[in-house]
Amino acid sequence: MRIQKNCLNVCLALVACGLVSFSIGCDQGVGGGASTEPTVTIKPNSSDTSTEVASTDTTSSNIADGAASTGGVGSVKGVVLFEGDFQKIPAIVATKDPAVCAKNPIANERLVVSSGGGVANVFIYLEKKPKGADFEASTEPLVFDQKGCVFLPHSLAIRVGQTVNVLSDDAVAHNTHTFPLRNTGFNQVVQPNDRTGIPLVYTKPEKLPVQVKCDIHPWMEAYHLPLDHPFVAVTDADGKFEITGLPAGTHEFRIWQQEAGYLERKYKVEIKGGEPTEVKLSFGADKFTDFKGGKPKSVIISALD
Amino acid sequence: MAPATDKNWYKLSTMHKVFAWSAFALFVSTIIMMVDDYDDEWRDYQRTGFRLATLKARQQEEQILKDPRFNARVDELDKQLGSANDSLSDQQEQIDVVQNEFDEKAFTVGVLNRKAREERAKRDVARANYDIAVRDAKPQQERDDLQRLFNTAQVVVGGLETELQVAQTEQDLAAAKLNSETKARDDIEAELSNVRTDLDRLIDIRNKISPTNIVSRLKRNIMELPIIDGFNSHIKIKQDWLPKLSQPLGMTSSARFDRCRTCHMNIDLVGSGNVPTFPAGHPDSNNPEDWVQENQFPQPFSTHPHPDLYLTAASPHPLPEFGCTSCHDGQGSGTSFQNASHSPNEPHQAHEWEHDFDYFHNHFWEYPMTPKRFNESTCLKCHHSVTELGINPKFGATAPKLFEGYQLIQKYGCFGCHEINGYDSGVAIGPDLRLEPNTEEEAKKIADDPKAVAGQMRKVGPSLRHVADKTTEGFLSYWTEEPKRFRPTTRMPQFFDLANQDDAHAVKFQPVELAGIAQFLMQKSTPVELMKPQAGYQPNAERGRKMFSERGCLACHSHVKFPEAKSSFGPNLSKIHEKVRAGQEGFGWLYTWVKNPERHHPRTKMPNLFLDPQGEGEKYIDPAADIAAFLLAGKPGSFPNQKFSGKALDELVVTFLSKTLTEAKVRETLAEWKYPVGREFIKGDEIELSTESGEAVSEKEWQTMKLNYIGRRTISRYGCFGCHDIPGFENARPIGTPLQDWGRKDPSKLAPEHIEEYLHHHGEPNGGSTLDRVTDAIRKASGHEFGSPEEKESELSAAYFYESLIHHGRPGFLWQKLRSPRSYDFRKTETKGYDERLKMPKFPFDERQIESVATFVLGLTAEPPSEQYQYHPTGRPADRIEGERLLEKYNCGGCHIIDLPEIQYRANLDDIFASDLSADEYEAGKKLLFKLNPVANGLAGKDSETGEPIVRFHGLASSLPDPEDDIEDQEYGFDLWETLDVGGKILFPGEKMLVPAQSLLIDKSNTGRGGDFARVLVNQLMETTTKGVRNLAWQMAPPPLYKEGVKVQTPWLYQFLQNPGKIRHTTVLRMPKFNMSADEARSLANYFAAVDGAPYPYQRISERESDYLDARALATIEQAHGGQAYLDESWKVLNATLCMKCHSVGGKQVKISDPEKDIRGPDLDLTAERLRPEWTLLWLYKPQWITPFTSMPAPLPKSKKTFPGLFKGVGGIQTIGLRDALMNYNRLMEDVGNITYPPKDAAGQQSGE
Repeated sequence: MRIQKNCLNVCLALVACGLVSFSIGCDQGVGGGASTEPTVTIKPNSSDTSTEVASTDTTSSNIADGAASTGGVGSVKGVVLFEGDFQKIPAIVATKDPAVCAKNPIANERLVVSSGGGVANVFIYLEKKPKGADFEASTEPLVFDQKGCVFLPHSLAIRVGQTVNVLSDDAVAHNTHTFPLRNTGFNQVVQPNDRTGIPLVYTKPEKLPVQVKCDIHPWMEAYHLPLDHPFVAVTDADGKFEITGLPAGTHEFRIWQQEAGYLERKYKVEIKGGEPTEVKLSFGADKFTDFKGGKPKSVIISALD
Repeated sequence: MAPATDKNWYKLSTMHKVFAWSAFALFVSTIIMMVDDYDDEWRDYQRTGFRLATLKARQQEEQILKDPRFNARVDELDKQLGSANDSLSDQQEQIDVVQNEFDEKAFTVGVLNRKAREERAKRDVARANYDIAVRDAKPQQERDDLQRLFNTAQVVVGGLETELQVAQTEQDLAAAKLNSETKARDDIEAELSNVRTDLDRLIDIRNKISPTNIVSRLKRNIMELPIIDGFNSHIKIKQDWLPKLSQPLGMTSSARFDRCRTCHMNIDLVGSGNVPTFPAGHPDSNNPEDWVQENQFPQPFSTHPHPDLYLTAASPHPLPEFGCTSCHDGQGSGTSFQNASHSPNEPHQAHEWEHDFDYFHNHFWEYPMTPKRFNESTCLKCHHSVTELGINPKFGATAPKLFEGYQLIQKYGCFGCHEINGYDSGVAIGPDLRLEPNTEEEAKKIADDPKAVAGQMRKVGPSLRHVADKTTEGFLSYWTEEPKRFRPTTRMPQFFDLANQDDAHAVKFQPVELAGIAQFLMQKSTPVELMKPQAGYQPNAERGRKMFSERGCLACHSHVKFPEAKSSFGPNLSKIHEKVRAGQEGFGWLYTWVKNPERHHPRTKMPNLFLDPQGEGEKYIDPAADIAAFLLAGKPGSFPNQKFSGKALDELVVTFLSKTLTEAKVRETLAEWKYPVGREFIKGDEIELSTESGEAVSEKEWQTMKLNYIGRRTISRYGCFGCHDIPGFENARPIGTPLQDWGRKDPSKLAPEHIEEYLHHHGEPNGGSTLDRVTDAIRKASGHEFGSPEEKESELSAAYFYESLIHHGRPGFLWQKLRSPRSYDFRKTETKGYDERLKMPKFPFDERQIESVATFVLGLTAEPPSEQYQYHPTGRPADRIEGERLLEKYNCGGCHIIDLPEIQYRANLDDIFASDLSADEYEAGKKLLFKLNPVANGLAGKDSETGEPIVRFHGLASSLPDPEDDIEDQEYGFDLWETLDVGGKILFPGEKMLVPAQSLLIDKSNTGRGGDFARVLVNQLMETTTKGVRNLAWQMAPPPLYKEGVKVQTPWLYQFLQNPGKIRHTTVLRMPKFNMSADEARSLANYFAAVDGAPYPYQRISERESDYLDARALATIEQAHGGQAYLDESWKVLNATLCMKCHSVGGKQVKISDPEKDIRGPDLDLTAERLRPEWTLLWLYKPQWITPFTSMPAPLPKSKKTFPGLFKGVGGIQTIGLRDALMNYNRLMEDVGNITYPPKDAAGQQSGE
């Protein structure tokens, strides 16, 4: 099963507008600290960028022995939902390199919620590969593109050793700068319209998704999650995900979203051989205002106008 | 005269008996003397020493013989030797022939040599004869004959020499032939002896000391016999003669003879790797065999610790040059434990010594050995700059206690009252800690006197010249009475409410004194022009809180709202709102102080933080006002003025006045409200009682004048001006005893008074008796009853000082003086005048700190050895030391990391991989990296207790363990900052080092230096601004000064330190402007280059010279030049579409989209003067190699043709061009100016984007 991650979808990707809760001098003028209850409204997405990008390939997983051989292989599928009100925030107006970057409005992808309440770009993954299992790295290179001064895709699951080809479809120079915790950082200039690309390889699995930025265009942000196993999914525009090929048994998943940090740190799911386990996860707005783990406490919920 | 007769006037037989008895008595006494002499303890020590040497050698031999690698190698060589010998014996006949041939030739050479010698002698005679004839002007004929004789002889010699040469050559040939036959065997023999060197050496040593050969043993034993042992026996006095390190003896001085090594015979024995052969220890057993087994040796058999620093020839203090007593004191010529004047470290040890060695304190030797606790004191004799003893790149902190004492004295300003003059008539005699000249006249006077050296220390307290602007009279007296009551962390000592101020007099007078000080200071205070925020500006305390935490205040100050910032360089500001004047007055003062500290106090160390207003209209922000508002948020304090009775005031005035006036005049003064002496004749504090006119004043005025007089008198008596700038005391001299030779102060001049009685009943902070405490400590020491080593150390330390005090020793006196300065007035206040009481205040020192201060003060002897022994470095070491002093003085390490921490961990080497350098790294870049950041060895050279290798590196933490992870999964991430070689794998800077939390080795000695505030700020910014991304937060914080000397040009740094401009746009704060002299800025600029081994003070920028540029132009024409001038084309690279994305360059301002989020680099017009060319080039090759957290990407990667039109797109040449354009920036700005590349086309569109 392939998990498709449509970062922005014409009809569905909806947006949340944010409140600046912590930083002083907030444009909205709302103060009151982190405890303020954010309100969120739904607003249709006017962007027409719809790019189908990377996917993780779970079919090639080869569980040597361990759980799989005893209890068979199963899967988990489900949806991540946002519960609460939305409020819109204007799109990012690119003042730098406007000829290229301001052609289309740029979505603020800190929290992307569909009309049905599905939260996109949520990582659901096993922190460690199941014991006794070993997975060969996919040799299929992934594409990480930049178009209209936006990283595509916004969230990308990667296998350790797998090549990510960093491309640019923009007529201006970018730089791709990663801030990993376990890998050595990567910071390269990407030439205008570079369609051959620059290879980016993670050699170690990370525990948390890695922030990726362009220092020249500070609004550009994406997340990479390199792992040494295939049990990871990124929710699609409807907040849906599916992970297959899981050995039967109880697994603890990490569920992480860039604005919230950990939504769940140890989310237990029992996998049965054969039939898929269905889960429905919903999180209130308060989850997105109180960071835990390797994330800060301030929060801005925002999205595309 | 009567004729001589043989008549005896004595009885011969009696005489014979007398002679016989006296001869016998003489013989017996000689025997007794000899027996006594041969019973000296040192002989036993030497015998034991020899025995230890034998045992140790045998142990080492056994170790070598047990080593399988050694045995395998010896066996192998033995085997080879056997087979070589076998093959030689097979060819014995042939060898014999060669040998014969060689022997023959050698014989011929021998014969010819002899003959030639003979003939040369004859020829020389002939020459001499001829020379004599010339000298004596003999007739020509005779001279010719003699010359002929010489010629003949010379011919014979010439012939023989030729023959000899031929024979020699033949012999050499024969020898070579012989050697080539036996070469294989000889090589093996040489190798074998090489392998066995260590073993053979040990066997030699052992054979020498305890020979196995019976004849040698007999000989050695005979040499130990009386009388015979006078002939260079191995048992003898060992003496180090040090004529240049003379020793003061009364009024004169004599050469130093140290015989310490007679007993301490192993003191300088070190093995390979500078490891002590006999490591010091405290073995339980008395058996030398056990010592060897445990490898721990008691005194006097142990080797000196730190052989890299002391005694060895390669160390800075070689034994033959420095001896022992120059550092340890004691009586070097003594050869017994007692005569050497050993000093016990605490009373319990003294008791043990009394038992074991009949120890007693010898009053007749002025310089007993320093007890162990004061070992470091004597370093001061030669190390006058002190700093190198605390911070030393090669040896670490070699005298940490002494250095702590030095720092405490600097921090608490002891020198304000107790001058420590490092010069005697311009000659250096010790550390120099004196106040800087207080006035310009004084400074000029010193400058004009060639023998005078000006002091360098600033007063440690704030200036009180404008104190009325700052606070109220009530607060001043409240504060002065007991500063700690208001601010527990203050360094100001306590002058009032102490042990000698608890009687009726003090209760009466103290409030008058306090009120007097406060009133005097307020009355003399002059206003300063205070600054005001823009009219109508509403300061925002919440924003002020953020500014306070981000703009650098926490680098020096602490505040209750920021518990994570712990700096104590400046005062804790939590209660400042209570202290300053209420309302607008206090706000105005604080606003001015924060904004421009020098306005209030010209010599303050508080820098100007450039808290200038920013923004316009609604976004206008005045950070100084906001910070002041934050600090003043809270209730103002209420401090009523001190209450006192008018009668007490008069009594005190009488007490003081009666020192200068007669009783009658005093009465007259008080009655007439007028001082009886004209103002022009008053020298002292009485000036406060007189008026310009000399007329009597009103009663109210008189009351004020009297109180002012008391205030001034009190300030004079307590010496407040030693720490504070106070109007009217510009020319006042320090009031305390100078300390420069206090370490030699005659103990009979100390006045312990009734201190023994005091400590019998009091002395402890809890009210207990110090005597009880000490008795208890000694009892516990005998019974090993101490709960912890720390308790033992502190209690026995107290016992030591107590005993010293009771015996009128300097250490004890000093200890009690610092613990409770007024306790020496115990039962003395009854008989002393109020104004004669002791005045020394009580400093907030604990006993450990007191011991450190004592270590320093006792080392102040003003007895420097001759110049050659003093440490007065020049060049780099001198600049390093001066720089370290300034780093401390201005608290540079408050913000900046000065030394990166060294991380050590137990590593699995299989988990470490050499850096995988992509094809994008330039070879030239790597070479440059290895030059500027040379490869360091990552293996610590030792294994952990569990056997894993220990890896070490310098780096910064990039991620911390997640406490919610399983313990075995918890790990630290570090960014590597140096080039590292881990067992042949090269790791480049910027590499991520993952260290499992359980494998990290915590070594407190190497946690780096400085940067506490930067770390606090980074953690805060990660929360508020960078969404947890540590690298971005680091870019907003003060930069680490790692390899700063390699980076910046020294002249630039010099001017930057004096007037720092804005460089980084990413940081949330600016480098402040310090109140620093040009000399200090120069020293600090030199410091960074000195520690990093970079050239200074000047740097040649050859990139601006035509030779270099011509060569570059030629090289680029060959490789890539498109026909344009080299620099012009380089200028285009710099002004192309890339750099300007983040930097202002070439007259074009960088475009900003969001000032909060944009990563804006430094303006590039700064580079040419600021950065060194090589560093700049390396930065352009790979910024992450220099600063792992930077956002700057490598601009021109090797694999991409970035600007194909420039230098044919060759990235390597473009990179160098970029650097050269930066270095020639000003010239290019002039010659070429503002350009755009690629140029705009006709439609106004920029191509290439």
